[in-house]
Amino acid sequence: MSQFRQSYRCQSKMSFTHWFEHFARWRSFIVVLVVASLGIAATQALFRDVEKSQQGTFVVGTLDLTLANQDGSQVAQNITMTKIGSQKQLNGEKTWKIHNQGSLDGDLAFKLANVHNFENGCNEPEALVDSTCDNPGDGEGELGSELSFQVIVGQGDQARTLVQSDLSPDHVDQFAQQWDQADPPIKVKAGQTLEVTVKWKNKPNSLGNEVQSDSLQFDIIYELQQIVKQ
Amino acid sequence: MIAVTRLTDADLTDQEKIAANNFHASTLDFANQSTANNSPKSLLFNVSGLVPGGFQVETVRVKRKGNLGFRYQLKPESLAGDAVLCQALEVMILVDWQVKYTGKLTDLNYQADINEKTDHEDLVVVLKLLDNNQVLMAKTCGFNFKLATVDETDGSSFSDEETLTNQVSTADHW
Repeated sequence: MSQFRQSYRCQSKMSFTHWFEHFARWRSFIVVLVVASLGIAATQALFRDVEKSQQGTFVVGTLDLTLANQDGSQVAQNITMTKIGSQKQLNGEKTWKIHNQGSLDGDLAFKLANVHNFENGCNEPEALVDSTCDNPGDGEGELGSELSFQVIVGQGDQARTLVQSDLSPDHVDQFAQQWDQADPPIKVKAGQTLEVTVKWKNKPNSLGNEVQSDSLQFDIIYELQQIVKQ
Repeated sequence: MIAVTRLTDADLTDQEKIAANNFHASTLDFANQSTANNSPKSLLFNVSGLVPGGFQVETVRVKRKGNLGFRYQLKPESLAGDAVLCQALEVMILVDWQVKYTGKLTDLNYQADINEKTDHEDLVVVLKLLDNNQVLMAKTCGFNFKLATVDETDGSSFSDEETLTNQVSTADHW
């Protein structure tokens, strides 16, 4: 019995010891684990990067485009040509003054909108040579294709012809496209005035009976866009 | 702190429009009409059995139908049939009862202006046979009066033309 007790006590002692040693090993491991985690967290908290921009710019200014006639009168007049065909030769021009009265420089764009080639029906002489005779017949008129247009920037020695095209339905986009290809682009600085002239004439051997009663209508749009410095 | 800057592309713009630019072609057109009722007229003379000293009178209104005034010319063309008769026929043209032409049919070349105010011109046309040569008996002559706008250097690029047909035959004997 006493041997058993002794044995039991020994076994118990051994078990507790064994358990304590076991615990001690695990305790060390747990401590290492905890310390490592704290270290990682602390390490993460220390990652930083800083970037700084030197070029942030806030610009306060104005962009204001005005149009005037060549004589300076402020209500810009449109182009009106009637009785086309009364003479064999047709030519004319119209000049506008483009003024940037804002405080910012701008790039000037030019385009056409609301272009209509109306047939307006056919009388007897026209019907003999024209197969399209609807009224109003938008898109059927021949007048736009028989007129040549130029858009010219500047005057005299400084004049630059930027656009040359007719106004047939297929060529309407040519006005904006050719203008946008100008090299260098057309700029209007703050306070600057620029003259733009639209010229027109009939093509050779044109304005026959096929254009009787035809009409051509369009809007001209000037747009000034802020020049953003890079 | 991480700061990122980016250039703005929200540019300022302004736009002005010249609206409703307009090019409009005019019209040039005329028609031959009856002076009695303005109905279309395509036949002027249809004479049969014409004898020497005989004549026929017809009228035609040359009516402007377009916006533009014009100068027109009246000439015979497409003469067919017996040339001897066509060569013998004579014509007189009166406007406002004033003689504007008198002479051979084959020499006829009458010109007149119809402007934007006058609107029309009324022609009185006399066709006559003065020659009594028997070779002209039982003959026929068909011809057109061609009315056409005159192409002038500083004139319109438009044009129009109209035709009046005519048929004449002489008597079998006189």
